[in-house]
Amino acid sequence: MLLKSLKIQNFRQFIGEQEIDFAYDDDKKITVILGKNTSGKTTLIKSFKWILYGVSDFETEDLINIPVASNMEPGDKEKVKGEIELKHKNTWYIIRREQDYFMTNSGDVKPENTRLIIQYKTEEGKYDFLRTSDHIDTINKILPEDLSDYFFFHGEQVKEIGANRRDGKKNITEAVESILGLEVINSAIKHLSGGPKISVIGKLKNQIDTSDNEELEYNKKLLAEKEEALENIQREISDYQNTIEFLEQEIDELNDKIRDNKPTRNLKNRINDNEIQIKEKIEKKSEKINKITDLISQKSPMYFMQPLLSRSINLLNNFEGFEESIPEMHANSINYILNNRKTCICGTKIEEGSEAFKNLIEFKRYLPPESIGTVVRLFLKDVRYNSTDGQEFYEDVITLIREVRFLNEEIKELESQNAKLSQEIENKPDVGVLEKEVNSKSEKLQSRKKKLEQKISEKGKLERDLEEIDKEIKKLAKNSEKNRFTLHCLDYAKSINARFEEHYNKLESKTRKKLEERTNEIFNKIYHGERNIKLKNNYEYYLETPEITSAALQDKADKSEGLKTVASFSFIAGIVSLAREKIYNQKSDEVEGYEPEPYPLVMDAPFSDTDEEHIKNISEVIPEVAEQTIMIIMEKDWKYAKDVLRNEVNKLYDMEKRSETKTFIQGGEIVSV
Amino acid sequence: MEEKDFKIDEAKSKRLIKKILDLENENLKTKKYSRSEMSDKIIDFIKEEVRKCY
Repeated sequence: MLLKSLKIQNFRQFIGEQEIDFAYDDDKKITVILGKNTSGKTTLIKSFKWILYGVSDFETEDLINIPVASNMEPGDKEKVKGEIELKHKNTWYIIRREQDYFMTNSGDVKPENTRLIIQYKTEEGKYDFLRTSDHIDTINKILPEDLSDYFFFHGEQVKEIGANRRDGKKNITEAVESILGLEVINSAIKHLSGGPKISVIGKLKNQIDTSDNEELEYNKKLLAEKEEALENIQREISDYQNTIEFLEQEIDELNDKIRDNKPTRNLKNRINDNEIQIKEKIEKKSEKINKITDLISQKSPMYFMQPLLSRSINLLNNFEGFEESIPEMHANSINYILNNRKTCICGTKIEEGSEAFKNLIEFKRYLPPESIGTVVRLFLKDVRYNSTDGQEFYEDVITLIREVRFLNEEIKELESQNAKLSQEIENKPDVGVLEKEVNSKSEKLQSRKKKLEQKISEKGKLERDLEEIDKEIKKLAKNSEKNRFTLHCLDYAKSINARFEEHYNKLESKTRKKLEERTNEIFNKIYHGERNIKLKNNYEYYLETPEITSAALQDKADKSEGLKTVASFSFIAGIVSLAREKIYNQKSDEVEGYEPEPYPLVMDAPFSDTDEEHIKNISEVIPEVAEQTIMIIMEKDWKYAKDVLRNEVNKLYDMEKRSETKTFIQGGEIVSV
Repeated sequence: MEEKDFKIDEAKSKRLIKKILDLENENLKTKKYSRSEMSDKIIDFIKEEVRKCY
């Protein structure tokens, strides 16, 4: 696949129709599109994916240019369009996607119909429309969607792709194999043995004639049922395997996060401890305030009466009536002697009218309740007692207020500590939550593994059953000549299929080995360190660090962002470079008719996080690996790449950002830079 | 009914492999046949070869 042109109309910030003709079929193979930050570099890359696959992953949903949408009136229609002209396997294609927008009566701009139109050039040189049912298949043959992230290489995003499939969705094995020429054999295998209903083997089995043979009829039915069950089980096994791989990757990722955030956990613990202390101190403070309130309600009147009481004491201290009275004696005591006892405590008989009687009657006047002296004395006693109480109240209240103030300061200090600690852990994950997630995912993982084991064992049993039924059918079908012929065809189909599978496995392993070698050749031209790139069976890659002997720890070795970019670039450049070569020997590999296919490198911010030296190194590699290169790049990075690529650039465009919603693409003429 | 001798000939099977690959290559370019149609075409090739193997 080589790209001829891209047209976009009202697509995001690209207002009106914007067109780029790419350097194509020329000695100079590079198109450079310069753009400042936020001018729409990534949008341009994303426009390819929208046109080809209908995928748009922008933060805001609408594709339509904002000023265009703002100028619409209720009932108006506008279009967002994108068109790519390309050549694949010597066939020219025009792939166009359109999205209608409509303004409702309430003034909302809503997306309406979306259309994909694919035209291809026939041998007569006319453009014909491709059947709608072939659209997806054709686009995936031209460029498999799972590989599109590599070919539309976005420096910021691509670092992790391929290195680890965290999203659990993309399996690039088939896509890489298709690009590298294995799709013909793959397709033949699919037609020969893919599925019991429409494959060659399935159809031949169905052609076995069962008329007048009930046993054969029964076995044929049984075979169909078991084959369907096997297909379902294989699908389930594949789902379980994907889920298991996905969960394992998620758990790994969570454990990495937990490890990276251990200090955060300590800080979080300190915050929790401080919060407990704050709570205790607030409770203590509340108790103290309650005590103060109680003291005020109980003792404050006496305290505030102190000046008045003091003056009363001074005044009453000069009272002279105290001498006549007997302390603690009451008039009732005299009344008792006079009326009941009738004998004084000294033994004198008390008779009414006697001298002693008269003395006692006189003495009663000095005793309470009649005696003022006694009342005054009792009052003074109370006043002196309460005066002490008032002084204590003051000291108690002052002490409590001091304690409350001290608690306030302590609470303030702890709160300020927590504010600082919270700032430190802001936007960092809660390790406790992560640990819970790990536990929950680990439980799920174990349960899925058990189910997978169960399904594998069910599959084994089904396969054995199918083998037996197959034998039985063969035995029963031999009685008719027509069926014998069908059985021979079936044997032949199986034998050819086995040959294809054998070739496929041989070529697949050869392809993977070659891709690994090529990727490392490119990587070593850019990166001059100890590491190298290893490809796993499923075409995921990882950086191998020679001094780390444990395979499990290889992925944990530190990698800079720049190194990740270089590794991703090397991997995709390896695929692009290999795709344009004839990597199979037609005679020994039996890949008849396989023609290599060139692919472009379309790169947005390819030098993100790489230093000046690596920019130059990558730039040196680009013309060697790709038949066509399209670089959407910032001026600051172009400054370094220009020195190396000046003789390779054919077309230079500039993305002119006139406002946040209006970008124009200018230039395009053949340039000397 | 008498059973005819049947033997898969190596050279003939190579010829069949080539025919299938040619068909696959052609269809990858032209997208002329559906999956089921492709299977039918291959079955025709196989039947033709099997007839020659007796």
